[in-house]
Amino acid sequence: VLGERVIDEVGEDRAATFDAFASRNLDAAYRVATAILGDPAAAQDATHDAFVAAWRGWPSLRDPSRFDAWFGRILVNTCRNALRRSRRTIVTDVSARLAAGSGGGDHAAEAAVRDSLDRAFARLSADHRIAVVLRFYEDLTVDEIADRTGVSSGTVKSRLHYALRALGVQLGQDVEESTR
Amino acid sequence: MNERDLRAWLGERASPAAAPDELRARVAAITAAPPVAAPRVGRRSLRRRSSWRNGLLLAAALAASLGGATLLAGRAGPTPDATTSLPLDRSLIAIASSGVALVDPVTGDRVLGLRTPLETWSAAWSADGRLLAFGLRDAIWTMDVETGAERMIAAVDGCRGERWWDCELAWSPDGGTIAVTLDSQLMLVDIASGAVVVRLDQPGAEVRSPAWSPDGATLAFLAGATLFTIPAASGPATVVVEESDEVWLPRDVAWSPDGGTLAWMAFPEAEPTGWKHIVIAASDAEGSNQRVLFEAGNCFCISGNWGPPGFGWSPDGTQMAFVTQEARGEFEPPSGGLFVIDADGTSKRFLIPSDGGRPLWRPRP
Repeated sequence: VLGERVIDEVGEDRAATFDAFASRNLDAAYRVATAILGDPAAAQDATHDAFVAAWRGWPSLRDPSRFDAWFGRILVNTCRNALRRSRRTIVTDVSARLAAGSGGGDHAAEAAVRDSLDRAFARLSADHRIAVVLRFYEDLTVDEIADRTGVSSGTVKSRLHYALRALGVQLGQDVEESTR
Repeated sequence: MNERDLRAWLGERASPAAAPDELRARVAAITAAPPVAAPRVGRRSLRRRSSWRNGLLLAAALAASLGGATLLAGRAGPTPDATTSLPLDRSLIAIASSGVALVDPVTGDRVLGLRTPLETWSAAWSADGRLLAFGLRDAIWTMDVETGAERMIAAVDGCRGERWWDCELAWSPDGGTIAVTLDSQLMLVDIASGAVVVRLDQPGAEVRSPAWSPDGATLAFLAGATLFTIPAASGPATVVVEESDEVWLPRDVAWSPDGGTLAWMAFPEAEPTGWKHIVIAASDAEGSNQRVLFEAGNCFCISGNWGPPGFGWSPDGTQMAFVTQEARGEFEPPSGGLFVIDADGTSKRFLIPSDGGRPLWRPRP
């Protein structure tokens, strides 16, 4: 496990270890940030900030087994900060998608669904957005989301419940029970 | 619209298969950049702080004492680690930080450690200073700090105390009720009967930091990033402070002993490094006259390895105790500590190393 090597490394070894870690996790981190923020430029900045925070906080990581959760928590916090800084400026341009779906039929229906999700998601709070992305994009469990976001499992379930209602998403019964 | 639509939409939203080269280059440059100093607090506290090594030794000693506790069968509660005389007129600060330590607020001596079978971050003093309440193993417990006698008051599912956000407690000034925040709820636990009443449910919000007004008539609490008060008996909650550009993420609330002031920890926006700068802010009880009392330090709250910062007022209102962290160097672990400061923001004094927790000043009977 990469994290187990972290604590004792110094100097160049530490930089090399971090670089390897960053290289391995960069794409996934950027995709998660993009899913949360919906804006590639903001996602770039948030991802970069997360890696800077991880580099600065490297020595504070005491429990190597929590390495992934540790960085995941840093990432969602930088995304949350980005949303709060720019909550009125990050917009998703759906015009191209709408144009592509203007021909009618299934494409139009899909475009309408996505447009509806775009609009509803943009109205969600930062915490609700993060809960939805971690659950339905990263496939984390409720307990894992709780650990990553620093709130109780009950709060995660509550956030998911209200976010999904705001998005107009109906869940299957098994998924419904897992988020209740 | 169903789950499949949502997953497909999220997948498309996160569609870039790889990070752009520009971002790759920026991240690759991180380890090559010259060090940038992390935030630091005043030199006075640094001079008075024990070394990191001493901190580790003390933490190791506490951990050893906690680890040596006998795990009792079933719902076992806390036990003191020694028989120590704790006369009621002795001023003490309890700090729940994955175990509970009682600390002399003048000397910083650790007077007593309270061993708990599991980690607990949740604790509250009774108004007479004899008992501590804990949230532990899905229940509320009380323990006599002098004798160690313990009692389970009520079962509260989810109040485990293992993680600092699980539940938080506040004991009413008349001694009859313990307020508990858990998930989206504020509950009232009757000490005599063990009855649990949900006083407020704020779905979608994390309800935290219950605090009784000194007259016992009102409870303050946080729901999300908003500070509310609510009459203890009945009536709606009232917004005192809302998150804004000036008031960022309030955390941990305390009334002044005279009941005229509500103070809270506030986090201005996190530094890019992940450090959060912390101030103690205050307003009159109804939310007017908002002001910053003093800067309390920093925390690396997002690391997941540290407990939360917290603070509390001394019974006479002249001092505050708080837990925050300091950066020590570019690649050294941050150093957390319990500090005491005069209420006017002067004479900050380091007491003991601490990784987080809410300092609870023992009330005067």
